[in-house]
Amino acid sequence: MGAEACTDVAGFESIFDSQSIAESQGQFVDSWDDCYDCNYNCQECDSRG
Amino acid sequence: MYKTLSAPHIAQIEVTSLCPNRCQHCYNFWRKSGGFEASASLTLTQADRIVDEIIAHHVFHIVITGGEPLANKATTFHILERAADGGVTTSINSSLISLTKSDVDLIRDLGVKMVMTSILGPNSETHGEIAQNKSAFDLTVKGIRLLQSANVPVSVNMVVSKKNHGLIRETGDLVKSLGVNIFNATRAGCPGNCLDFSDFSLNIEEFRSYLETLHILGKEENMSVDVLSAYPLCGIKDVNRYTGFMGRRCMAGVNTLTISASGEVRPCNHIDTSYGNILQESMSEIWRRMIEWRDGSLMPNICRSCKILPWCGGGCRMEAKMRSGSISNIDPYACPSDSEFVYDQLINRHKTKVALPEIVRLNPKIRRREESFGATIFVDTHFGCYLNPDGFKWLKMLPYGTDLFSANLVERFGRVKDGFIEGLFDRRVLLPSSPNN
Repeated sequence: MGAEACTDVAGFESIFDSQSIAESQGQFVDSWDDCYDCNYNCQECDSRG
Repeated sequence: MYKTLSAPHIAQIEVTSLCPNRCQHCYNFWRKSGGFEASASLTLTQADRIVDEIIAHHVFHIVITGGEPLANKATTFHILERAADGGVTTSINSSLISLTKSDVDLIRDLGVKMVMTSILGPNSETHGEIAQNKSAFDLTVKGIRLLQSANVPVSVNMVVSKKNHGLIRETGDLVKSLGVNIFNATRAGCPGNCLDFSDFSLNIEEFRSYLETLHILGKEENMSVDVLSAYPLCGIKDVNRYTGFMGRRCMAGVNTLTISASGEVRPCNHIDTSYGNILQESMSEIWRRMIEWRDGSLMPNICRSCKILPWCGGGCRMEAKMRSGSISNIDPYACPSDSEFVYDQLINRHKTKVALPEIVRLNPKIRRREESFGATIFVDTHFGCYLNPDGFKWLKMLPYGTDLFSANLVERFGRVKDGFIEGLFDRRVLLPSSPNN
């Protein structure tokens, strides 16, 4: 597929929704860009004692 | 505040509420309340129903926990087997008490990605006193060695309370001497139904001191150290120093949930409120019902207007509920007066630009799930990224198992926004390759 067949794509999406407090504060892009590599979802995500 | 995903990324399953330990700090809310939940164990039939729901909703990963999972081995191994067949990755949280060689062989053969256990002090006396089980330490260490002998990855978590916060370094050193390089230390959280946790809860000075000790341990011993709870960043304060302890915003009901040994579904292990029973309704119905965990309505007022909220997430709601009386109160470890200091550090962080290698490949371990906004990409056992429809469409064009010249990607598959391909590489969706691979 050649480049002429596609339009620009933005690519990534944020977990924050469009009505979010974060976005309304103008920090949307910076914050999720920093947090994308969050390892919250890793296999060790339980603090079971 | 947060989008509603089609389902969680991860489901934690408490296969039984039984446990041979009686940890003084245990967050299982039923320990103190007793009742049916305190003796519940999932049957094979119930487990089948739960795994069916998990597979049908394209949940990526299961954490088997409890109670003590090995107190219900039949169901534990049944879930592991079903998950493996269904393409769902798994891990186990266990005290390892009662672990046998044949258990370990099964764990290895079923491809369990990680087993996490707890060590609560540097010796048998401390561990045994906190776990209220004199033989627990030796059995846990024996279990670690059994897992290591089968090359099953092991990590250790230490629950940190007033009882042991001065022993973090020694405990970490012990863990290192056992050949385990992943050491987590997590502050004890006040369990549901606990009226007074003051004998265990760290104060803010102890909290910050524990973070520093853990940080130094990681540096000096070259260990992977982490914390397993969502801490308010204004409580952590020096986020540039403790970068590794960031990134654990509370995702309860956002991308994770917990299923109890009686099928009740909660936003996380610590929460004592059920939003429905998965043995009676679908996961999607229950997931939708957890909207208050996503829409910001549980967020403390002071956090709503805080500039660091997007990075922070407001700390732990259960800790707020149990220690200050309301789930929407401020996390007791939050220090709002330090939020401006944290904000300055966050916005001035140095970002390293990713250099794309000459040749890349699509990571064979990625899993994709369509969402209302595009897609979730999971990389092995970890979250990769969210994509919008255009990004997802572009990614789907990439072939598996083929070397791709980075310089030709745009020509072959279409233009993308600057940084998108580098971002996929940074998130391990794309891997480096070479002509000899």
